[in-house]
Amino acid sequence: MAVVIDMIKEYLNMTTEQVLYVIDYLIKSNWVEFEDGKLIITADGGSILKSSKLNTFSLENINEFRYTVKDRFLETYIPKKF
Amino acid sequence: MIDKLSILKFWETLNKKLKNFLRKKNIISKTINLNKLVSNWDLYPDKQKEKIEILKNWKSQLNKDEYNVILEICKKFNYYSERLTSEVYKNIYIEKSLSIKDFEDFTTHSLFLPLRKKERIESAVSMFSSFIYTNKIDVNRTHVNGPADYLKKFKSSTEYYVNFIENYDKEDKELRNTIEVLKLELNNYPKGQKIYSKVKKRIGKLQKRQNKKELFAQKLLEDFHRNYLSIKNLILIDDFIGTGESVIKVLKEINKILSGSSININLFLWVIEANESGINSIKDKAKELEIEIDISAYKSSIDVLEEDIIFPSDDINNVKEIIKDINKRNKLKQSTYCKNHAIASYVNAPNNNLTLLSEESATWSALFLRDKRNEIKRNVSSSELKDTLQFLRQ
Repeated sequence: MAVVIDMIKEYLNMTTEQVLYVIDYLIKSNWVEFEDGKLIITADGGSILKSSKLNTFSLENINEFRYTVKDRFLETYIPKKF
Repeated sequence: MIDKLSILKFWETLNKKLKNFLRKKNIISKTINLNKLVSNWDLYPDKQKEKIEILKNWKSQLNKDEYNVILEICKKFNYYSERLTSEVYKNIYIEKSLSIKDFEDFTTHSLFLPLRKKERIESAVSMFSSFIYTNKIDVNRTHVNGPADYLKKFKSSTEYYVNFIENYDKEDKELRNTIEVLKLELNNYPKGQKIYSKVKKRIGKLQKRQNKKELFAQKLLEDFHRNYLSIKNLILIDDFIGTGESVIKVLKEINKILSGSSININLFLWVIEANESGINSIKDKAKELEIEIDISAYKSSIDVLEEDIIFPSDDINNVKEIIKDINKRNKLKQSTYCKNHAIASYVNAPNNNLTLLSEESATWSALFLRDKRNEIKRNVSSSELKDTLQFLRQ
């Protein structure tokens, strides 16, 4: 759980409190469940990932991702951390 | 004729052979039991293999007596995996639901919190989240930043709302008086006249403002009641109590916050394992601070070097010497908080453990290593220090 919480905090730039709400939402939506002390993706959750083409998504090789950023959409973006 | 001497010699020889046989049998049974020992811990196969390797390394580093002592200690080692932690927390909750009167009402007026929150370490939160998701606790009944943070907010909210109500009462009284005066004035004017309509309009506006303020005040009061006043119990969740120092630190913080305030709250602490002397230290401190805290533990932690727990009293000094020697040879430094426990969770091993179980050195591998998770401080060079001084002196 520590790793999951840390990861969500880092990648979504949230507080711990917000992370617990996110997890609570995912559980209530039946996309994940808490079983034997771990968070597990349910069949519903798996289908959603599959339909979004994210079922093979992994953070392991995220540094190797190449993507084009359209600068004009970032003009008014103010990063939360600052 | 068989003489006494021959009989004695016969028994002596038989005894020796029997002892040798038993010793060999013991060695074999202990070797076989390594797998059985490790299988007691709820670990994945690769982690079990790691533990077996560590134990085999220990065997090569230690003499027979030392190794046997350690194996006996390891037999009492409690490892709380994610699954087991969840089970224990479930058991604690069920036990409480059966023992606390009107449990539903109790939880309605309770908030669940981790004992403490540290920004960079999520271990306490990890255990806490295991508790709340296992027991399906409504996340709105939690406060993840810990009891000190919550009580600070309670106190400052109370101060805010006291001022708010003072001002509200004052303004409300003024408004009501103004409306009453205007209503009386209205009687002086005939209905058709312009002045009558103006005064009536004014009364209407003031009444609207009064209603709006009342609704706003009601909403604020509802929030205050829901988030603070209705909370009678803070239920603190943690993994282990060793010396009790962590809890005492939190109690001191709470005492500082609550002193001079009218906040009245019941404290509960539910943990997986607790050391009896740690609990007593907490209770003594709580009494001194005039704070009440109810502590429950699923299990009592054992001091593996206490008499008649693992080793009989006439053997214990020998065992302590053995442990001392191993620590000395391997330069293992004992923590101030050491209580000779033999426990670990999937998150970490506590600093109360028997040193050689959870500390490592150049020559010693820990069985369940305590991850200190200290911040790695970058070394600051002398030229960087010079630049820093220059910057500050500008």
